[in-house]
Amino acid sequence: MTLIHKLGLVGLIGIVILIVIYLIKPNYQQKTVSSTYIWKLSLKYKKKRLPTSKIRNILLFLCQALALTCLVAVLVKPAIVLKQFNDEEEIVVIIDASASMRTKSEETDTIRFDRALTAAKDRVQDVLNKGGVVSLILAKSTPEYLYKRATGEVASGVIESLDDLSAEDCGYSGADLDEALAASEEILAQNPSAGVYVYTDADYDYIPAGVNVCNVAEEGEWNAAILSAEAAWDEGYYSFIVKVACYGKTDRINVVMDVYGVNGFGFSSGSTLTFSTEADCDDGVTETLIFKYRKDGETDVAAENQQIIDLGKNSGEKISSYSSVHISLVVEDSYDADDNFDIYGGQKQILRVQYASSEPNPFVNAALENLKADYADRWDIRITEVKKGEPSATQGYDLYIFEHAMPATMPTDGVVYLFDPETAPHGCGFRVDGAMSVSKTAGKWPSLYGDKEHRIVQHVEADNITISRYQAVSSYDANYTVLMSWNKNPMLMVRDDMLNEGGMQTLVMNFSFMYSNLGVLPEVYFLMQNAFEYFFPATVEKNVFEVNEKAALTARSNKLTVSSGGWDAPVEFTSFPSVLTLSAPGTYTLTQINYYGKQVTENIYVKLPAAESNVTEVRATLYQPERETEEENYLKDIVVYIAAALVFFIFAEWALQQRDGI
Amino acid sequence: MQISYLNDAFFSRLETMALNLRTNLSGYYGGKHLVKTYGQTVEFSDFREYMPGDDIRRIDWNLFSRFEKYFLKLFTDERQMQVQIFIDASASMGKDNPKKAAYVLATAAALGFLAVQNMDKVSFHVMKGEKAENQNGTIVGKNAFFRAVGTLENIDFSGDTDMEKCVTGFSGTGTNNGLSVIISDFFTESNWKKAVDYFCYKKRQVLLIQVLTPEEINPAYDGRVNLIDSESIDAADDKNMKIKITRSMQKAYEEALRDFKEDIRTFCLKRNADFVSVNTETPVERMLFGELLKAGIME
Repeated sequence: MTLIHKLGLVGLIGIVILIVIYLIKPNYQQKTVSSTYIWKLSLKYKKKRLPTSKIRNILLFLCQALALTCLVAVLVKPAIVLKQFNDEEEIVVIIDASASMRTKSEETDTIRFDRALTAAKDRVQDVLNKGGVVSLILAKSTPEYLYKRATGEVASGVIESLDDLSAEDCGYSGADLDEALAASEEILAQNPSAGVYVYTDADYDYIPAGVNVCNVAEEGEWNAAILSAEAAWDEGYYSFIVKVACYGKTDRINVVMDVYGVNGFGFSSGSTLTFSTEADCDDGVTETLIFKYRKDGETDVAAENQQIIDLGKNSGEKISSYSSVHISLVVEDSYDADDNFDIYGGQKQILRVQYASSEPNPFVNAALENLKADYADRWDIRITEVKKGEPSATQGYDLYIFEHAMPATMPTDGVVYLFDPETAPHGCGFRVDGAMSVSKTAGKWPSLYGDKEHRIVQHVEADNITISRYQAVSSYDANYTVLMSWNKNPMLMVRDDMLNEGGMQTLVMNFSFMYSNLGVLPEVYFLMQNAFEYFFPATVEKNVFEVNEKAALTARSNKLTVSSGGWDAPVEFTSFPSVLTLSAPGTYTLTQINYYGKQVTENIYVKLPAAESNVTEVRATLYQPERETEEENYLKDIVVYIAAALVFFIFAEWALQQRDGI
Repeated sequence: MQISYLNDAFFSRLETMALNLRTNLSGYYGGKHLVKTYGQTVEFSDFREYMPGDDIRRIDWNLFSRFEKYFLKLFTDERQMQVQIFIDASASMGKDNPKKAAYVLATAAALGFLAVQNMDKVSFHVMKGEKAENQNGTIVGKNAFFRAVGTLENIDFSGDTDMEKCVTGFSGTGTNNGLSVIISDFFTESNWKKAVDYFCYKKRQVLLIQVLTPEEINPAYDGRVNLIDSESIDAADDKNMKIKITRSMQKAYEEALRDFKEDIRTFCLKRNADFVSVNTETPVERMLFGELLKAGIME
């Protein structure tokens, strides 16, 4: 505890004055009375009744003295010291572990992260040798404390922990320095005078007070980077858009693009085309390179910071599919992690669809054509329509659609849609009792009742669908889920039990487009699209991700294997949907053997965050960690308690006075 | 400033009152007090069988015709009493409090007037020191009474009084012939109880009237007080005392006074004496018509 206003102790003189007052009590007042006889008698009563009067007198004096003491205590303003500053220095060291810290200096042949570690170690060693306190924070996407308030006793451990750090600990994503500074508030709360040292590779326009930024970047470091690359489907052929930039230098960069598996299937087939160009990159300016086929007579006008490269110049073969595209920069820069880029998704998977109907209708055909167009970037949907009277196949397709006339046996190598099944194919799992007509109620055809929870009927309003005839299904397997019904009769059922022995993926619609209004409703497309998404989901939603991004995985199999050059062993996923955190840049291969025995291999590319390529970045500012700056904040004022005691003593004194009746 | 209650209006209000004394007193012949003994008044009292030697003029012949026996008709007797009023003239009774002195004198005068009005003898005895002085002798009749009242107003309340010696040393105390009244505050070290016992021994009816001022009943002063007794000789007198008067002390005083009065009352009760304690704030008439009437001294 400390006294803020020590001069207030002069007030203790008041106690001396109080004692003097007690010593020179006021003289007795004289009073002439005739009743001294009774007063003398009353003394016996007084003694008998109040034997503690002397104690009370002492208490009275004590109360007065304590009240005076409290008054003095209020004057001197005592306070409890909440934080006692160490005379020794305390620092919080934050080491930037972002991807850009891998930038390598040609002069010293060291990466920035190593230089940051060396500088931090020197500083830490210096502080610990002087008996100071050190805290270490490794700033990744989420800050991580390595040591909290370490003293000289654990100096060797602190230095060892810094020695143990290497380029491997330096992530491939950005570092949240602001979050790390916020984490340092835990230390600053205990010692507001602690210094914060940030070892990073960026300059800042404004550095908050109390934060020291040590920029470990060196002169001459520069980086040429592929910021992004993508393929675009342009009138039946692919074109490629590549964004490159140069930081720390203005240079002409040689860009090479290798397209593998051109117009073939798989990695082994198809030819390889190589294109190269030189991009004039100004320092810090993003240059867009567009590789496209120039039409005859077409004169493209490139916009600023844009170059158009004619793909047809080097090769007569136009790229309508590819297995992969590898783009690389032929440079000797300081940071090579962003000098290469791969584009995948150039080979669409073939989906064979058979539509067999005894009475074909335009609604199904239109829906299939729409699906073909909508999923053209992912699927090469090839539709085979079986004409009336022609035999339909029960194998060799990925999706079978049977309408009215049913096959004798259910296909087993693909998904089966059964529309208005007049009969029950063998192995379908339900029994058809024949067509049943429905009569109008109050002049209206009855509408269906639907379960909106299932993915297949999302956005499908069953109430809007009316029917006038349906195929009565008297019994069905427990593996079927009824999605729509009328009068307890199943109208739309789905079966997806591929994990079971002999499982099937079947969608059954027990009414005809001819005897319902479904064909003219938007629900028909929602239904077809939902069913397609349900049975043929995309494994990942895109082909390019950023480091630390989470990819949602689905599969048409009960096992999906993900392998990467950055991992020791492939990772298997057996439940879906799953989430894959992409922690390192590069190509990831997703392999699965679908329910029907076909191997499906897909690739995705994980790139570095574009911001990390800017190795000469100048940022605006850093987060200012909060710290108590007012001295009063370090002290807990206890005047309130003393004032309360003062009030108590005054009250007690008053009570004693009242009782004593002076 | 001298205060006096004694005026015509005061005495005129007492015209209808009379002292009610016990009937077993013998008193003197003459007077108006009915006593137990048989006398020559016209007020019938009893019959008694004739005995030889009785005056035959007193035989009731009507009874003889009825019972053929001789019966005498007896009548009550009326006597004259002697009322002795002892006034405590110590300093505590009025040296510093004229109102108390006036109240004491008014009480004494009122009792004296009632006695004179009933054809009784009255005497005022001023007790001071160890003597009880009677400046006016035995008073009979209103003229003598009013003369005596004039002298009473000149009483000097000073010094202290030894009531025991004043009463026991008084030679004119008759036996069984009237009422003795002591008017005092009884705040004395002297043994006033012996004085009462002396009166009882003389078979006199006794009335003690304690006169207290409001300040004596409920002292309003507090703090550190040097209480100088009004009867003290000097500052070093043992009667004086230094005291810190607190609320609890005041309560103790009230209890002491209450017990003191109760002690007097109990003492008087045992001796068939009457005791009345009055506050000088109580009007004299209310004291007479209230307290004394209640005590049975007046009728």
